[in-house]
Amino acid sequence: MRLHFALALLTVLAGQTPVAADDTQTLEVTAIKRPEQRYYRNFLDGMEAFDKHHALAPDAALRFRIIPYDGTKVDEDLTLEIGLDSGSRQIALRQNLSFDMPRDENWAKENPPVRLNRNDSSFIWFADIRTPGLPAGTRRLGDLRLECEVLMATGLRQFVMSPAGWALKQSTDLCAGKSFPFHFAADRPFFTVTLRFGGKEQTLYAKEFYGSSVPGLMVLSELRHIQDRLYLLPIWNQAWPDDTLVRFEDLAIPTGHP
Amino acid sequence: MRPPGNLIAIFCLAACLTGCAASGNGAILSKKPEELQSLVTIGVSTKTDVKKAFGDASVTRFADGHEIWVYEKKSLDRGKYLRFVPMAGLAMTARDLLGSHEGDTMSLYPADSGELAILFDKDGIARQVAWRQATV
Repeated sequence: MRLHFALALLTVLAGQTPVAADDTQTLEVTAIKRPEQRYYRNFLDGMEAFDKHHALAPDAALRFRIIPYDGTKVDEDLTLEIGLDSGSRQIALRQNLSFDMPRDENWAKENPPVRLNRNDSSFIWFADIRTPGLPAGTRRLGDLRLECEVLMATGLRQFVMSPAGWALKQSTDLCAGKSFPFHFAADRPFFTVTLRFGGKEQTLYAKEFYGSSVPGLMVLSELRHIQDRLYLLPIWNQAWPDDTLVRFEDLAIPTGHP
Repeated sequence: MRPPGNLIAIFCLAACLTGCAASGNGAILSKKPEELQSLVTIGVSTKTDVKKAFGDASVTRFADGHEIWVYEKKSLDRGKYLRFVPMAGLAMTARDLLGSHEGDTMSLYPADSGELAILFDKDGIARQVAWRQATV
C-alpha cells in the first residue's frame, strides 16, 4: 500500500504523462519577449524635426534605417511592424534596411511599439535622408546635417551623454555645435572620406573616423558594433555648404558586415 | 634606401624648430608624400616592414582583426593649446556648443599637417595606403 502510494505521489509530482518515443509536441510562439523595438512617438518627433529643418535637404524625403551590428545575420525573415491595438501592421523594409514611417495622428495618441521580429539588441536605428541623383558612393552634407537634427529629436539612439550634455540638448541645437561629436554611419566600411565643394576638396583625417576622438565611445556606446563605418563631419562649419559632397573610398578588404 | 637614423633625427629636429612634429620615428617629415606611399607595397608589405620604416603608429584595431595605422605630421598650432587655458578654454567650449561660428573657414586642419594611413588585413598585410594633407 505504501509502495503504491509512493509511486502515485511520484507520478503526480512529476506531472508528466508518459510519451511514446515518436510523439512530438509543438509549442507555438505568438510573441517575442523583449523584441528590438522603439515607439511611434520617437518617429513622430523625428518627422517634426524634419519639417522644421527641411531646408537643409529640400529635395529629400524622410526615411529611417536600421543598421545591423557587425557580424549580425540578416535574412529575408526580418520584419518590422507597428503593434497597434487594432492589430499589427507591417512596415516594408528595403534591401538596405531603410523604411518609410507613415504619419498618423491617431497612432500618436496610442503610441504603439515599432518592433523587429528579433529579440536581441543587434540593430542601430538611424535617420536616412538622401537627395536623389547624387553620384554613387557620395552623400550630401545638408542631408547629413538633417539626419543629425532628426535623430537628436527622436530618441531612437542612446547617446552617451553626460548630465551636462543632456541639459544642453534641451536648450540648444547640438548639431550646430562644434564640440558635440555626432557620429554618422557610412553605408559600408570605408578607408577615406573626402569633402568636395566649389573646386575645393579636403580628405578628412583619421581622428574623425571609427570613434577615435571620443574616449569611451568604443566601450560604452552601441556604435562600437559598427566601428569601421563611423565618421564625424564638420556639420557645424557653415563654410562647407549643404551642397558639399561627401565621398567615400571603401575598405579594400571584406569585413564582417552583411 | 632608408636614411640613417641620425639623419632622420636631424630632419625631425629641424622640422620641430620650424613648427612641426611627427608620430613614429619622424620619417614622414623627411619624405615627399609619393615617396612615403611607395615605401608601402600593397599586398606585400607587412606590419613589421612598416614599423621598421616609420616606427610606432597610432593603431585602430577592429573586431575582425584588420587594423589601420596612422602616422601624423602635426603642426604646432598655438590656437588649439588655448583650450587648456582655464577661462579661455571655457569660453571656446561654450562658443562651440552654442553654435556661434562667425569667421568659420573651409580650413579644417593646419596648413602644414598631414598623415599617412595604412590598412592591414587580419594577416598583417598592407591592403590600402593614403597620404592625407590639408588642402584647403
